[in-house]
Amino acid sequence: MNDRTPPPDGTERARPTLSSLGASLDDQLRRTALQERRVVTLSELGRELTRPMDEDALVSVGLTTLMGFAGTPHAALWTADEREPGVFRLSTAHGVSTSELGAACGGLARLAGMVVAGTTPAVATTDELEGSLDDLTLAHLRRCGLDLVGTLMSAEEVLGFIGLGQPLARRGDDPFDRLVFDAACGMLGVGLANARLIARLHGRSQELANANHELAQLDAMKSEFLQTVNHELRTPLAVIIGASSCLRDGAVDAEGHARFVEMIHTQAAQLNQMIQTMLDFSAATSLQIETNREPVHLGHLLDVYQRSRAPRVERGGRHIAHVASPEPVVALADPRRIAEVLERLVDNATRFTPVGSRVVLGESFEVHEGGRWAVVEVTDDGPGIPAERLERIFRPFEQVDGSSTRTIGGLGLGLAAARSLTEAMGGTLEARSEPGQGSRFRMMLPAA
Amino acid sequence: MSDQLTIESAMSEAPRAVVFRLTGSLDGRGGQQLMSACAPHKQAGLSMILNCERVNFISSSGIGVMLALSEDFRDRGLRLRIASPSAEVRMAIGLLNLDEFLSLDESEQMSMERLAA
Repeated sequence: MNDRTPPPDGTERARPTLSSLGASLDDQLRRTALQERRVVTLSELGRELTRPMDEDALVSVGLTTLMGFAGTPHAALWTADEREPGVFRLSTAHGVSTSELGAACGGLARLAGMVVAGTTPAVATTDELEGSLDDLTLAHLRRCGLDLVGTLMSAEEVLGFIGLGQPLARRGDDPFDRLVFDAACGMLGVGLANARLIARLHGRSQELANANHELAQLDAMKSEFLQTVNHELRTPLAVIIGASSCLRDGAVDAEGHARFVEMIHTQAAQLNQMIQTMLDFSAATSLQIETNREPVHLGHLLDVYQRSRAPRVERGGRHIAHVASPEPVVALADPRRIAEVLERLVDNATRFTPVGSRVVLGESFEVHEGGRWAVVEVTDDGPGIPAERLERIFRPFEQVDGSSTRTIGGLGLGLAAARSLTEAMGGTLEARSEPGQGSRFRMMLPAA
Repeated sequence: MSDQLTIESAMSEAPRAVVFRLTGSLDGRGGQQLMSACAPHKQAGLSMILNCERVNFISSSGIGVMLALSEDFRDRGLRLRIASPSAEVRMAIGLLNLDEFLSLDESEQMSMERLAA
């Protein structure tokens, strides 16, 4: 039928004017352009998702893309908490009350279950969600002007939801809009799953790298320990073997005899102490330390210890003193273990201070972190410890002079063992020092 | 489309506002960059002019950012105007009928005058 043929009912159809044809063409062109824009939006989103982004950037770009697509300034995106399954949290929102939407998280877990089960569509208006969402959550969404909800899914797992407000400019209902929104939500869901997977992989890689680094450090420490043990154990053994050979062969006179016997005894005692330190450290690291807790008068213990230790300290050209507290300080601890810790601290102080130095023992009470503590302090006026090495000295095999050419011997286990022993008594051991200002070791034990 | 967004900022004393002159692509990444750059000025209570004369591409995400910023400025009692929109920006905004919501001006000078009014 052409324009010249009259309609069968005999009526004359109104002939379209040029301007109405123009308007119709404009409308058609506009609808085509809008449809093209929808497809372009999906293409843009796909391109954005190929960029390296963390989860925060991804949800932010995803939400603004869908806002631009829908032409709305009101939108929100919730994501599933990775640590708490079934819990959704508001990730980002624009143009809406975040407190209102934060409160809307409660009903989303149920909705997620229904979407996975297929009883609720992945994209739905708030009206369509009546029955799937509780009234309170629906009320929160409506008060924020969000009336279209899309599900972010990957591998049948709901990773989040997007809520969109009404478009600012009405452009007519088009079922294609919902399809595009559904597709965009699907792309975002996969993008979100990828971002989380990549973040987990990075985390694991970092953990592995850290573990590798620690293993390398342990390996280096093991090598250094073997070198140290070789040196520290062989030196006294060489003296013992040499001196005993001289005695056996009768190569020393009567005067030298006593001196050689004393030499053998001293070196053997030193060896014994080293072995004891190693055993203590071994027991400490395998949590085998046994302690008896009883009230210990620290003033009395330090006094006895100072008097028994003084001769050896004096022989090395140093001095040891006890400055007693005016009030009795009683700890609930193991007196034998306290003496062992003291022995290591004083041994450390005398070995790392120059001849003529002074070591002072003291005790006091202290209130710390709500608890009452009995404190033993061992202070010296030696060269001090640089700040960067202060905590490391408690690590096994570490000494202030960590170089392979260090001049002061020892296994580097004494302070590590001392800390383990203190901790086994429920206490702490710390060091305070400044180079040139001496060092102060503080053993804090539970007060009786 | 791969031109990264650059933002040149200038302060205006009368009216008291910040002018952002944008060049390049206002896509997802550029949009996030723009939102971050706007945040301190928004907090400081300054109105803003976005000069989009040299924006050669705007994605849906870029439109979404403009909508979010306009709404946020409005909620704070501030104003955000878009000056000298390029043909690409004008077409994208027009297609979605957002001209009335996003305040478009022919020139930066006109935006200044509207802010001062």
